[in-house]
Amino acid sequence: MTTLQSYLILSALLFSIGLAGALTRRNAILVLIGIELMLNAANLNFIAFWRYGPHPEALTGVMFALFSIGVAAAEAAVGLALIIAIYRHYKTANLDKVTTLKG
Amino acid sequence: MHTGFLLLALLTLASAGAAMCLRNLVHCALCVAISFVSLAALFLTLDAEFVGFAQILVYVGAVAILIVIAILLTRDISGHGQSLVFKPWTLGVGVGALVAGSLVSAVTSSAFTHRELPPAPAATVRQLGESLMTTYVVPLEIIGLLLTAALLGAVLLARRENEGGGRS
Amino acid sequence: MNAFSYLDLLNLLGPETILVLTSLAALFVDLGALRDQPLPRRWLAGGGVTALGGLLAILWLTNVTAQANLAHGILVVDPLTQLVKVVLVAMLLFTVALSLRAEFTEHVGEYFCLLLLATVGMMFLVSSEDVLTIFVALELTSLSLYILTAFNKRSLVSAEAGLKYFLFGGVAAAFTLFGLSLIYGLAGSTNLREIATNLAGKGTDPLLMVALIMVVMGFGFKIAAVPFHLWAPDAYQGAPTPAAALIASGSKVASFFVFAKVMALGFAGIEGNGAWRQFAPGWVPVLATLAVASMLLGNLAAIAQSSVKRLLAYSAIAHAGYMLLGLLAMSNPHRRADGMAALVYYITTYGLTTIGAFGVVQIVERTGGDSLENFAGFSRRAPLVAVCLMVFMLSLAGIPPLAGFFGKFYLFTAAAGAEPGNLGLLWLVIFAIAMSAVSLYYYLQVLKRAFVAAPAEAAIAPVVSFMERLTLALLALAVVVLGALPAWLLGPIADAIKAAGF
Repeated sequence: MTTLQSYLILSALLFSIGLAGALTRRNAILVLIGIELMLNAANLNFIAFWRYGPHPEALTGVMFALFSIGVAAAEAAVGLALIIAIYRHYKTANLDKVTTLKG
Repeated sequence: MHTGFLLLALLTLASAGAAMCLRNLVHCALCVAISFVSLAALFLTLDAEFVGFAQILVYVGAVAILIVIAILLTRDISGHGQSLVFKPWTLGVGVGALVAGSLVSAVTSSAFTHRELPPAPAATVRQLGESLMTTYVVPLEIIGLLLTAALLGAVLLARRENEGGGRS
Repeated sequence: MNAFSYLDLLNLLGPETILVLTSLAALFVDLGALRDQPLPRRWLAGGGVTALGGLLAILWLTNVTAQANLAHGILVVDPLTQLVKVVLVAMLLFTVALSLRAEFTEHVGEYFCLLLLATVGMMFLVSSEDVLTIFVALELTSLSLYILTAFNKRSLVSAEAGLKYFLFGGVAAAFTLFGLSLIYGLAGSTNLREIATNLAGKGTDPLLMVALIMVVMGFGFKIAAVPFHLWAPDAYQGAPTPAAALIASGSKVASFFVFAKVMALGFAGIEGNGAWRQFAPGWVPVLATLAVASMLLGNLAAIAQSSVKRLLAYSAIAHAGYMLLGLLAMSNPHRRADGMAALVYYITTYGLTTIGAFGVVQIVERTGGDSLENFAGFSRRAPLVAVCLMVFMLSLAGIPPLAGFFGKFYLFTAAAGAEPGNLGLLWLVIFAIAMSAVSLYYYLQVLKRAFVAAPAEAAIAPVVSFMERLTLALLALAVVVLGALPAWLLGPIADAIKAAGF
């Protein structure tokens, strides 16, 4: 039988992969993909805790996962639009060239 | 069940890792889509069918496609032969490893993660719909506004501005 | 939830509904009726529609008394939330008044629509005690603000600031969500009070500590506390000035209010101890660390800035450090009301002051830019605006009898009195007072340029519209009056907190 712990460890690893990618990759699109992976890891937590939780009939975990899927979609749309706007100005999506602001 | 979980977990992690490491952006998008699909399959093993299908519809159907479109629109003309990552890439990987280590050790040492699997709950679409329209009607309204704002903003930001100052 | 009445819901959400309808009206009026009109007229019309909606919302908020807790805290309406919503809408109105002469975009309708949606998000954020609603409302606010930051499509800096704000914000949101998922798993609930009840006595579980830190990281980003502040200077500098004013005021107010609620209500019982030699894990030592780092880095980095917008950003980071003292004061359940009253007074007066400061910066920007040199001899070019600038800067520095002084005074007394007997947070208060003294230096630097330095040869007098004059004068007046008669604001705050039973 799969335990709650194994789901939580999986989500922890997925979260860390997304975080490491978001911190290291220079392409803004890949940073966004990293963020999406982190949000997905949180969703896995919600579903696992809901399934193993004492009150699954309350549906709270499922609802939270559904809402976060909606939020993530909106975030992806705005993020990619921002990346395209940046591309218009800089002709690149590489973050280390996007450095006018400093201080 | 357990081998199924292990296979899906490995697939999720491997494709997520590949998405964060590969050189070709389109391959990255493909890998992340695979990761999304295997997560959806994991949701199915946890008896959350509706979330699984929503995951496929939204993440694979919309987010992954958006990512591919963005990659095609911003194909880096000058980007050849450059390094893929920020120079001190060990820093980011180190932070990731640190977070992974602390999370995993917290999960394994926590007293709250040893739980028996209760009998499968019945989360029908009808129940979900009913609680969306009663208990969760306020967040539902907020997410409606959120999607409106995102739609408006995405169109506005991605649209080409007229140089002359007129309205397009 | 059997007897669920949508009519009641509409009644409770009246102000939010008004603002949402106004946002649609602003969009359609601009896109439909005014399509071919000249730009200044469209700004006036959009601003007029928005201001009308905002005034209606304030009228509703001040005249309709409502108190309800719907669906286990998904929607909480009480006198305190209504009061904070009035503050938020007032900040929206001042932001709108400062936008009327803007030239950074032709998309007037979309601009006002997003300003209103961001404010609606903040209002939902304020009136919830359920982490699900809090997360969704936080995202509505954040996404609208990302878009507003990048709103100037002709400016490279604006797009870059928007992208940076978005990427930092996305990572922070992911941390918040992951932390909340762990909290949900450990407590089995998303309601703040139920979380506190279910978590009681489980204080040292490692997973709970990890969850706590992740949630603090997410909110720490929103309030721009060090080390999650990296986006703030870029966003403040790159964003169109009115949008930056809203980020610095309204968003700060809502985030701090909900952060305080999450910590004081949701994590009641796992405060830990940050007092000297009595260290115990919990949120008090975590927030105390953030407060020290924010005050130190914010004040020291502000000294080195030449762009006044960046200076205001670092000053905002330092102020976030002071305001964290208000949250720390709430760690003692018996003194929670005091801490909340001091915090609401502080964020309100700080928000008004900072909008005013950005309003002045916007006027100076018309003469070439927001660098300190552009402020040289400003008092001779625009005396009234310069006097307002002096009021704002001195209030930010905390000079009596201005509102900033009394804000700091109440906040620091609340923090010092939070743990009577062992003088728990006294060391933090002493540090904060020392840091406020440092901050005086860079605020006076701006004033020295404006009042003492001679204007450059080619300096031109900036164009100041009547509306801007009026708004800035009103804001400066409010800062002076609320400082001289703090009871005018503190009285209603205390009443509201008592009525809300916080």
